[in-house]
Amino acid sequence: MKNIKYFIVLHIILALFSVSAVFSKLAAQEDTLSLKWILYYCAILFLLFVYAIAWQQIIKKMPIVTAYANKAVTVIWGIIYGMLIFGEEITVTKIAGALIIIFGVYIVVSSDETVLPEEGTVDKNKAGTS
Amino acid sequence: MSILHVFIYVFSVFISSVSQIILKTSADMKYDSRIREYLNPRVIIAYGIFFLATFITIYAYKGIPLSAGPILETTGYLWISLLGYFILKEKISRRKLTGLIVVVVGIIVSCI
Repeated sequence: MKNIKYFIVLHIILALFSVSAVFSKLAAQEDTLSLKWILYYCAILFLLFVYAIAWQQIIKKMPIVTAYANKAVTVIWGIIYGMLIFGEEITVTKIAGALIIIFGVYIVVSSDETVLPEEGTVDKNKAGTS
Repeated sequence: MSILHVFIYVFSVFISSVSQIILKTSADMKYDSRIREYLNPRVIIAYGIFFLATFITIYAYKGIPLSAGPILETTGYLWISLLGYFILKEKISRRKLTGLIVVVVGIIVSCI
């Protein structure tokens, strides 16, 4: 039961993190360094900052492999937000490609299962920039 | 979707992968104090590259749909593996290589 809780929290974090891409796309539609651009940029940095901290906490609660494998779901969020906010088309190939990617990411991250890094180094290395 | 902007996006993913490798080499070093652990040339350069990457990403979005961003972001797994192999001398297992190929296939399929 406890695991399900962290699993849900992880997915809320990932859905929120995916919103940072929405702000990148919004900023792209404005002139660089215009007021709106700066506002969107601040929103991106804020979301990345919140995400980095939340990610650091969540990987203490579950295997890093599980967390990274689930992170691939951001591909799906990109498609959903793209449709809802920018009216982008959802095509069969887009969905098929996304599913293949998620499967591939699972193979990649699960191949690291036997050589798990120490917790401390993981926190510092991967949380901030991934 | 513009091919040029796809490459620009992938380039930004590549340089943020470089910044992660730099952070990794920094984390492997010994420091006199806790402050030096966070404030040293490698960490500063790594975060500098990271900020640069956020700018380049925004620029790339001028020519690609939102949905393509997170998809192209997954090339990071490939860059991290290659940089780890060449710079950190980390091995790429057969399983990992298979996964990376599947990811690349997925990216190509989704861009068709």
